[in-house]
Amino acid sequence: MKTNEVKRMHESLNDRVVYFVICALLALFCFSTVYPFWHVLMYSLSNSKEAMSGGLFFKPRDFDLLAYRMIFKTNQIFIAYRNTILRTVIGTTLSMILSVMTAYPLSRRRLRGRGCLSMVFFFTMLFNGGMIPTYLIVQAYGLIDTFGALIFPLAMNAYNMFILRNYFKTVPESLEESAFIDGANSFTILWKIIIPVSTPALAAVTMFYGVANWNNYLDGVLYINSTRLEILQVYLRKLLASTGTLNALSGIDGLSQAASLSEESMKMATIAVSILPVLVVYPFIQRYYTSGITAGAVKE
Amino acid sequence: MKKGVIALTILVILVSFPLASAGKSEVVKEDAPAKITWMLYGDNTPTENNAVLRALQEKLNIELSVIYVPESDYMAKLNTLIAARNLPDVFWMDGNKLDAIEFRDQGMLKKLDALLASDGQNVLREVGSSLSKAPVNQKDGIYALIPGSINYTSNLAIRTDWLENLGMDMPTNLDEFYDVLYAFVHKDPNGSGKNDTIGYVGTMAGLRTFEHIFGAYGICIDKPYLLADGTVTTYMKAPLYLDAIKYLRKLYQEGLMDPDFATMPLMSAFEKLWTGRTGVFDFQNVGTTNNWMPGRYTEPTPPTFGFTVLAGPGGSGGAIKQYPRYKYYNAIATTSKHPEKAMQLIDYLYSQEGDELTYLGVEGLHYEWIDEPNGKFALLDKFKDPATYRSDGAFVYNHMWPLVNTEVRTLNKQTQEGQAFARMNSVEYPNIIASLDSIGEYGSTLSDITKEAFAQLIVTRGNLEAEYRNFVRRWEQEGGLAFEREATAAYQAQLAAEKAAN
Repeated sequence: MKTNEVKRMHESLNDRVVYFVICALLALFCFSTVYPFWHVLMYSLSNSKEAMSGGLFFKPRDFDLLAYRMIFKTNQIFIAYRNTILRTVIGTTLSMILSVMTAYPLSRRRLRGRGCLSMVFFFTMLFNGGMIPTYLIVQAYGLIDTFGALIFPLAMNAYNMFILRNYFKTVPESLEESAFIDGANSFTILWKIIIPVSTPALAAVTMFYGVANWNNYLDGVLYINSTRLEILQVYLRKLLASTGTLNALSGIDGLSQAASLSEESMKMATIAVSILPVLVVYPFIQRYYTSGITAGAVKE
Repeated sequence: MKKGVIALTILVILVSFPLASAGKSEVVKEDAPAKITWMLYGDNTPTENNAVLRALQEKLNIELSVIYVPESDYMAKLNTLIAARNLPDVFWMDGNKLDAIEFRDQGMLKKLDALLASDGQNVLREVGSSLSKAPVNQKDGIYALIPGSINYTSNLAIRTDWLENLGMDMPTNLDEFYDVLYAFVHKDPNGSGKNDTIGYVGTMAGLRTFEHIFGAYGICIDKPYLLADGTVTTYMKAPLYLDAIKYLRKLYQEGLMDPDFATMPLMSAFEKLWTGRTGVFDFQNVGTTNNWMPGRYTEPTPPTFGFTVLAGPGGSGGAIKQYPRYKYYNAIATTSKHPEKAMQLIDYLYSQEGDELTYLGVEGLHYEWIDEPNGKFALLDKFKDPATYRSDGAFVYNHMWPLVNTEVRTLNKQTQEGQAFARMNSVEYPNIIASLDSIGEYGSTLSDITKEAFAQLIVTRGNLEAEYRNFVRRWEQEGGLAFEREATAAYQAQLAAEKAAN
């Protein structure tokens, strides 16, 4: 009896040690994941001169919003935000419509030649047209320097479409058959049966498209010429690099404060401004994320 | 029903965007201003219809559309537009990265001789005598314009307040420079009572930060070198290269040089100067004593600097000589519908009035002169904020760079004098204007070898001479000899052409 108790105590002690080690490791992992974001935020809220001494940032050093004031000083950032939000909302909506309407027929066995059709889409995952041919096509459609250039060239991504197709494949065809018997057509089945049961995959792919639209930079450089259509990422890129030219203004009366703003502070504030909207949205769809991907990966 | 209406609405919006944009019809009135498109690089954030653009349009009676591309992506965009045959009327090209001669031969660049004669008086006054030296202009006329100004020369800046604290004079040769570095590291130059200063801060991320030490040995770092027998080769094969390396090794081994020189980003090197950790910095003084002064320096009292040149074994030294920018091209596309208006735009930007407008903004709105002959001005009202100032077009469109441009005129006196001093004491190198095939083929490999040698030879504990010979052998075997042959021939031809022209 006494031996068993000692054994249990030992086990309990061992368990507690293991538990503690696991917690410590997870805490360390958690810290290493969260800290970079925290560092960016705290650095951006610190006075440039104080921040220059380096080291870890657990709180702002000499709290200063100068970098943010510089970013939000002109109307152009709001124009850039508007364009990026619009492209994200409209682009993601269009992408989802196209992807769902392509993935659904390709997931059904009754579609003849679906293997060949799938290969056509798969081919685009291996090879793409390249920058210049894509530009030529965008130009040929009269989309250069239009909002459409931010939407249509990347409207559908084959990888995302295949995630949806694989998920739709897991929906039993018997569900469809009973709906057919009840008189539903393919569009009704897609809208009323397939989509409602595929929320995890749809949420994950929506997030993929959303983040891609939000972060896309090169199309804003290549296809857009006007300032009125400038997107956030291009604006922030210019703003970040322009901090260097602030130097040239430092000798001018009244500008020395702005000129004291370092590139590093500006970089941190720019990153914060750029990722904040994504960070705000992410927790709401994060729970769908993992299940959406893994569910789509398993073949019935 | 409700969902159907929503879906229909989304579809209508989606379809209407491109149609709305693509369906623009152009109704051209006869007296309407000519439409000119100008593409340039830059990293500012101007608004679409800013005051500077309005002033340019009004002055030249044109409708000006500016395609303002981030500098890092400019060449990608230009290459794409060239491939698509969709060039703007006026555009800039970096002749070092792009084969402008090929575009000229494909008929994409407008021949400018006639336009220069009719509408380019300012251009001709600024660069007329040197235009034909640009490689793209060496066939049958002028196809691209070059800037009048040259790049800034580097200055070896040394903190005079620290020298005063230590009772030392400005060093003028390598031995005195060593003594200053030693004192800056060991004798508490800032009087803080702490061991918080370092010696020489140079970084391979910006090899300019080593210009004066190599200059003392008659070498221009990272530039070609002319051997006594007329061969053009790498600076690594200069006779005194190893002596320069030995000097840096000594600094490194004795803790008088920042040990992170091989990996340190340029910005970190700047920060060591700004935060008062180093009192020696080799860089263009437009930063050290003008643009960074006083805002970037973090000490309560901003530092004071003096400039010097280090004499080496030959009794002289200096920074790398800056030559005209023969491959910094501004051109007009052959597809331009209003080439004469495009030339008028360029010509205006070469003028003092145009350069002032695009650099400082609109006089009376953005700024006013306080002491114009000495380049002193003040910003007005709401434009004292730099973001607002630049978003209204100032500091954005000054891209033609006349010789005495507004930027140079508005530098402070010490900086202007420092530039003149550095230019007087600069070290020449064989500046080959023509594009070399061997650079395209082997350039990056050869550059990697010389950089590797630079870092390795300073830190090595092995046999310095043997390692040096290995690097030279590698450089020669991996394309260096081909470069030597081509560069030597090109340089000799260039000298012969210059001689014939004179």
